[in-house]
Amino acid sequence: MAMLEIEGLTVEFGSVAEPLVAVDNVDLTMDAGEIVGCVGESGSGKSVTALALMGLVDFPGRVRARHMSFDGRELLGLSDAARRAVVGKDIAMIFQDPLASLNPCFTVAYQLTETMRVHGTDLERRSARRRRDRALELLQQVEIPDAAARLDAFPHQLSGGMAQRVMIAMAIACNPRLLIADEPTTALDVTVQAQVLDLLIRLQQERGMALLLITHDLAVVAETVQRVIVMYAGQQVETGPVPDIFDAPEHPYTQALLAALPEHNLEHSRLKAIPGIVPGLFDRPAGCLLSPRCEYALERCHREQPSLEGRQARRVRCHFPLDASGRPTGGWVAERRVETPASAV
Amino acid sequence: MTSVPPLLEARALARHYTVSRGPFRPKGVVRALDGVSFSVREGETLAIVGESGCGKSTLARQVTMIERPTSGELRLGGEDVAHADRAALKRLRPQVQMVFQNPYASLNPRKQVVTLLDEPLAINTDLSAAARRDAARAMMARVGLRPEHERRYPHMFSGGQRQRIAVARALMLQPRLLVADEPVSALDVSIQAQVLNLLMDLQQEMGIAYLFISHNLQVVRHIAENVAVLYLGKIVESGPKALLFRRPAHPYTRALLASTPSLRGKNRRGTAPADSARTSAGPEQGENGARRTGIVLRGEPPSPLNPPSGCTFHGRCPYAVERCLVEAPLLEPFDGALVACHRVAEINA
Repeated sequence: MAMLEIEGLTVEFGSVAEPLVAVDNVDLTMDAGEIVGCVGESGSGKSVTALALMGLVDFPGRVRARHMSFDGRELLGLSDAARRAVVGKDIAMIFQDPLASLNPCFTVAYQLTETMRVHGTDLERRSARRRRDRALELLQQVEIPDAAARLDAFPHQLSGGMAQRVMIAMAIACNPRLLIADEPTTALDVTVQAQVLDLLIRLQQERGMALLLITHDLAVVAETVQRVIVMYAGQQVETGPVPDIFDAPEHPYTQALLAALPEHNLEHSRLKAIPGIVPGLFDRPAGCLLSPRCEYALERCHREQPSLEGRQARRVRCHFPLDASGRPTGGWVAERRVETPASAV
Repeated sequence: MTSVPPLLEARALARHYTVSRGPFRPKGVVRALDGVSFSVREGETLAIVGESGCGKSTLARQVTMIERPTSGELRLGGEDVAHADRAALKRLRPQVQMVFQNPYASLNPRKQVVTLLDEPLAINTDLSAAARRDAARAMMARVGLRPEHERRYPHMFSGGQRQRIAVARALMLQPRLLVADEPVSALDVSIQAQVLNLLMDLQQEMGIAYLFISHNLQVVRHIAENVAVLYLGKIVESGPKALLFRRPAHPYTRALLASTPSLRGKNRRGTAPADSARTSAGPEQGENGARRTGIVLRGEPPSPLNPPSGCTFHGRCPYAVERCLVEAPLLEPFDGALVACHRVAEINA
């Protein structure tokens, strides 16, 4: 059995009669020690998925799922106290902006040891000295230079990269089995980003923890993860192992997203942009959510929402998934001919 | 050499800020920009690349004449900007316009699009209200905004559309130089491509020069003709884009290229590199060539308040020797580019 199993996770905001669906029927399974990437543009629901998993979606938001378990333990309907025993200990999270996530009023050591006071081993809960020793050890593990001096520093005395390392140290303080990193390097410079990604991978490998990396950067995903989930407007549109999904994307959105990167347009003066914008919570189109922006969209796409189909490892939400050469299949040519006889050759 | 002066020319341009470091302590000097020389020709794009705190935005503030440089020369179309008086500045400023990073912050939320576009003309020209309105409408069409948008407020637009408004506003006065300070870094990938395409189309139509400030090398590689790499207020390498990406000479440029994530990059998990021989992928040498010679930097950029002695990069440079600690290298020609490094010849041998 997989370590983390989520089936049909839905997060809604707004009224019950007219819900605004931020996350729509997302499935996610992760094995111990696996690195999974979750990639999507802003508003695609990738962060809300992680927050729902952590139980951090507050009142007006409603979280539903057919099944959401961690280590065989059902997370939905768990009492707050029982959930707190899991969250922060077995599942830890790193947020995007480290300087906004750290409390400016407390020192690094205080914030690091706070987790241990709640979730730590017996010894850690009893002995402040033990906690402080462990905090120092953690800072050394995340490669903070002059770690002993940094223990009593306040967050404003740290650079962005250093603050993110402190956040990582906090997250791994209780040896989590699953680490969720929500855009961990977006606020950092490239050279620092490379260091932090290498650090995350090293810690993941040393500790055998699972890592869920949420990002908007396809290149970061290509370099770090084993399996990726592509999200669009709250839905999973494609999942698959990493080299495959970049070599032969099956969903037109993944294909278009890759094609829009400057890296893929070296010989061309123009980038292959995707027309239009990501639909917001209020203006979701009928049918396939991508249909207004999709270059292959046919009448059926505007009318009927496709479901997530395919084998366990490789799934795609499209009526006409693309083949290895990037052309739509599933009778697309025939259907198109029916719709636009004039242009049919 | 042609006798036509470049559109923009900076020589040893410097801008220092004095900052208070607390009561009873002497004031500190931040050398945000410390002797930078470059030039931009008409209709050309120069990209300024660097990490946060390297002086990119300070440079933009000098070029747009928002601030006066501390020392050095800055010439726009041959005319001295650094020492220009008020009247001259008033005449020169419309020629250089700016697009800011965050279109959510740079547009006045209480003004309609048409008012935003009208304002530069109302201040700087004698055009009648009707003529200004026509110009605003024409510009909206040019940047891909629909006529019905003109009465809307900025909050009614998405990020990409707002950046289009910002670009339109900057172009109202038909500037010769557009300074774009991270114009796409706040936008999503699919929208980023739209805005970059727009910028390139406008350059072709109107022949504007761009000073394109960015930390994203992939974007720079796409849009720029020449690139200057800035580190702690100094240019460490500058040259034509193709050369810089094919054969980065300065250790810092190499490190920047090596740290930029790439779809075809090495896998950080240490397994065999993903063989992504995509059909639309570009020539192999570029990225991979840079990656092979690449170095991963340790540490973070030092504070410009207290820069290291000698070459400011020596603390993070794997090639640093004794000499780098004491003597600052000058920007000197090396194989078609300008590089500021004592050991450039050895490293690239």
